[in-house]
Amino acid sequence: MKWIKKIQYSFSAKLSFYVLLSTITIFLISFLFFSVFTGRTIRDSAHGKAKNLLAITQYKIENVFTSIKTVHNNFQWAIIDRGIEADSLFSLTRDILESNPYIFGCAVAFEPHYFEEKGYYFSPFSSRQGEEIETIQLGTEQYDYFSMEWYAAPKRLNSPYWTDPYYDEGGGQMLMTTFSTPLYDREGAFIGVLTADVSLDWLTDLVNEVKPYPSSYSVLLAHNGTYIIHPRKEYIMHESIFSVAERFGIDALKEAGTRMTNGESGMAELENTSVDDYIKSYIYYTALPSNGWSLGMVTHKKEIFWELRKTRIITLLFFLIGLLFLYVLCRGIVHKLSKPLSDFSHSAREIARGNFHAELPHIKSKDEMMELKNSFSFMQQELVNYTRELKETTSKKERIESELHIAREIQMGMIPKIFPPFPDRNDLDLFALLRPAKEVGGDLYDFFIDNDRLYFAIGDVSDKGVPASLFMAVTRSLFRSVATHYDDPAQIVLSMNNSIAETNDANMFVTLFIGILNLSTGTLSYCNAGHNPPVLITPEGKVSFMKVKPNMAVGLFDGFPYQFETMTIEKGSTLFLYTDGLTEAENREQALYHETRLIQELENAASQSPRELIHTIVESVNRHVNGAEQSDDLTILAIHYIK
Amino acid sequence: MKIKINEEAGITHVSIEGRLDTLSSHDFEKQILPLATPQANILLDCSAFEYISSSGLRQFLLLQKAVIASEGQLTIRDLKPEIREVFDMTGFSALFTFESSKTKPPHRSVER
Repeated sequence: MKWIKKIQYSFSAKLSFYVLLSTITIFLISFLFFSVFTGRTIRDSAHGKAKNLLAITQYKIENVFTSIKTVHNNFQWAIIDRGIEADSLFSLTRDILESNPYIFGCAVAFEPHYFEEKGYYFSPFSSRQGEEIETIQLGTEQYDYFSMEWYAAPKRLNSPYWTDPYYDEGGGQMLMTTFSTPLYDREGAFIGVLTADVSLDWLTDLVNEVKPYPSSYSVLLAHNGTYIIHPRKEYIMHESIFSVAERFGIDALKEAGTRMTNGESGMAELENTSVDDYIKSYIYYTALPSNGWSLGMVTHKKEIFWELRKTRIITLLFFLIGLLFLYVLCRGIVHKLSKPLSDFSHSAREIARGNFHAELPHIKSKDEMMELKNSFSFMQQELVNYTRELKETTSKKERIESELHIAREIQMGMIPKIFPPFPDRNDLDLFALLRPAKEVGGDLYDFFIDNDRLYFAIGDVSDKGVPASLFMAVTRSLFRSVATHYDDPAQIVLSMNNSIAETNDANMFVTLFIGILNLSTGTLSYCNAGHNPPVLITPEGKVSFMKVKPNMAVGLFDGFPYQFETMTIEKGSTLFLYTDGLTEAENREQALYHETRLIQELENAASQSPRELIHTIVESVNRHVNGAEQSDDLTILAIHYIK
Repeated sequence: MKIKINEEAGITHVSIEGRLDTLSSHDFEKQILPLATPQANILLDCSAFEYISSSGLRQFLLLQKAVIASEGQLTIRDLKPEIREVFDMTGFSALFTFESSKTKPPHRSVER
């Protein structure tokens, strides 16, 4: 089954296979038509030829027979007119032989004592002995011709008569057939017969003179179907067409025999017989009117169609050779044409391995292969370009990433990160956490103590990422530089707002909660600029959002009148400030962490220190988020006013 | 976020569905900000609006500023209470005109 695989996997083999398949189909159809048509033509022409030859042979035989009849007619009158002189008859028979080469022997036989002087038997007879003609007196006691067929039959029938073939021992010494014409005197009394012998050998030669095919042969049948001429000598006079047909069980032959003995002309076809002579043959036959015999000509089909068969075999042979040649040629051409394909496949592998400059097959033709090559080189070029761009992009990205990393460090450096920040103070505990969603973020917190007052701020810049981080940096710096100049948080916010709004073309903003806690009195003054209200945890563990005026986010409207509020914080309270990254932390289903949950968690952890508290809340947020990507910056600042 | 825009009797109806966060802010900026043509009357249908982030607030602000600059009008209709809270908290409520489809005549929100 190797070749099947080959056909499946080799393009050239596949194509060659299909070409051959079509060629074979077309050839077989043509060959079939050719065979049938030619077969018919050959058969018809064979029939015509055979019938023609049969007619010629019939004509020849009939010609001889008629000639003999004419000769007899002429000499019959000569004999009677001359008044019959017995001895002159010897030369007469001799004359007949000399002037008629096809007559083998000639006799004039008379009734007993017709010539008194000649006695009981008198029959002058001339016959050919080689080149010579011998003349004898035939009738003797040993050769009592009166009872012989050639004498008795015409006498009895009163008409000329052809004998069946016989072996004449006294006369011709050979197989012959004799034509006898009865002779009568002037009174009409029978006086004897005039004969002419025809040699069967001679007749056989005549019959066999022409034949359509080398192995064709002729047969001659007597009235009763007995073989007079047949290639098998033993059949002659011993077998009839019927006995042979009977013996070998050939019905077609029997039927042909009936027709032949009836004096018909025609043709019979012998099929599938077990007798060699008659194996698939045609028998053409016609009658000889002179004596009622029948002439047949047998031709083997094999021989008739041999030419056709020969042509077929030669054609097939040539076709097979041609097919082989075609196959080799096809394979060669297709292989040559498709060779670039496997080369391209090789190149493609090379390219896939990263060798974008892999050599492409050399294509000379301007066909699809050239197109393919153009596409390939285009692909190579594009790959090179793309890779270069990708490299550039990647290195750019890497640079940006490293820059972002540095930016993060800078940003983180801007917010206080040392906890506890005031280890020497026993009235304040504070902890903060900032976790940007990206490398850098827009959240901020800050605090410092000035003059026993804690300044603190928490803020959230709209948006996140780099723009937010820049805005955050500006905000943080402003807070540091502005805060100490004022005791009033609203003034701080106002000042910051005016500074930012002046140059804020991007319309970014920051929500801020700024507070100042007087650590000695517990007075908290604060200003909320659009930020989430902080949570206050009382020493008793009561947790609630502070009531704050919203005001307006910072950076948008120059001159916005920010207002501050004040309240007193009990010692032992905790302020919990955060950005919306906490309450709006999302899990995968985009469910928010939400303020109510924050309140709950804070209630449970009310007594914890700022560090623990933030830790608890962050843990709780982590559980809620459950691995989802952090959606916003998260900042928490917890301030505990110690008792 | 899904945004549907359709013009009707000189009013540009814009319906916002879903969430307006950092990611969808770009869509908002591209599709809605250009609507602030001179004297444009924009009605933002927020009945199916579910969440707004701070960057979303900024987009609203930008839109409002653009509308004011082109002497147009911007009305926010049927804003859900939880989102309205965000507007209140940041002080943004003062900047916008809100209305409810149930209590028709639009009212200017009162600064708290």
